[in-house]
Amino acid sequence: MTKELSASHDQRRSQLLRGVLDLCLLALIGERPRYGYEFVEALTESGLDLVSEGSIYPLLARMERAGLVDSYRAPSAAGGAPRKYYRLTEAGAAELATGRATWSTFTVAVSRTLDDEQHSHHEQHGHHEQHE
Amino acid sequence: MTEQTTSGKSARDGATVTAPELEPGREPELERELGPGETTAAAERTRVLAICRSNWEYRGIDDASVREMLAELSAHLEEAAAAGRSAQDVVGPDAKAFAATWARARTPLHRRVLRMAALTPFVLGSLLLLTHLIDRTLTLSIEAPRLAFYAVILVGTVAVEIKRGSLGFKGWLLVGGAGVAFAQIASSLFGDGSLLRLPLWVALLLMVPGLPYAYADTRARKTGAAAGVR
Repeated sequence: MTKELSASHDQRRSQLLRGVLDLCLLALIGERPRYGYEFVEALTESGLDLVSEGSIYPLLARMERAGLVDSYRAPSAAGGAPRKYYRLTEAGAAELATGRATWSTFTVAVSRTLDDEQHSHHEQHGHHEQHE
Repeated sequence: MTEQTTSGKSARDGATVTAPELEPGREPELERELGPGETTAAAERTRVLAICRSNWEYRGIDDASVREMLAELSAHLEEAAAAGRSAQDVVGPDAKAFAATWARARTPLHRRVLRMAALTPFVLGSLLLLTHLIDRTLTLSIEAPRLAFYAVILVGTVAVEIKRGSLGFKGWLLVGGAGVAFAQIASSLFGDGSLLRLPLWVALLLMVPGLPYAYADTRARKTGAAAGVR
């Protein structure tokens, strides 16, 4: 039972992250240009573990096609062959700003709905008003 | 730092490259002997890369993009391995599905279909041209067993490579055996008589639509080699 709950919890986290992963990637690129593995490191540091790390690449490809990010090759600190770095374009910066505003409004609305005390208080208040 | 733009889109004004440079005089990582666990992990990485390569090629991704995607994935797999994570942690349990998702995101379907529609006859035309040269003839006779043999080899190779990345020795034996068996069946069903005769110009005509793609791929390969893209 505990295992099932834990799996369900992980699944929900994964689904939530999938919905905002593109925005997270844009925000990370907004800080500084990054290459693939650096996104995973930064997400992990923030406590956001991806089920499969490679899922960032189709997203990055889609964003590159949409003109939200641009790329170039440069050597990395880790050495080896040059890496493909992604950086934000003007359209990407605008998309990030819109996404941040949407996320902000969304989280406020969800928090308001999920907040037990506040929700039940509002409901009780509504009932009282109806009785009066 | 030398900076090589990989897409034509303009970057945001003022965006600076903050990627650190290689330390002067730093040598690339030296090859060392791998332990049994590392060998298995390295073999798994090679298998995943081979599956991705085959899927991208057969899904109509251009050569330059395939090289770029492989270089990106290969670097990621190596860094993940250094951090103790497996190839499966990177691509998920199904490498084929991962490759397909990336291919769809990278290039729109109509462009991939167009490329394959031009390159498939190109390959066929090249094979026919080769047969013309080997047989030293201007007109090729196509018989049912030969047709069956090459069709099975072609379909078998594509199917196995998409699933496993490469045929390998066993795969070659299996596909070759299947080709011979189907040729025998075709021979007993339709006989060894000529089905059609193909003049040389048919082979050349088949190659025409794929020529621009073949030329672009060759150029991209040279440019990629010069830029150090594997």
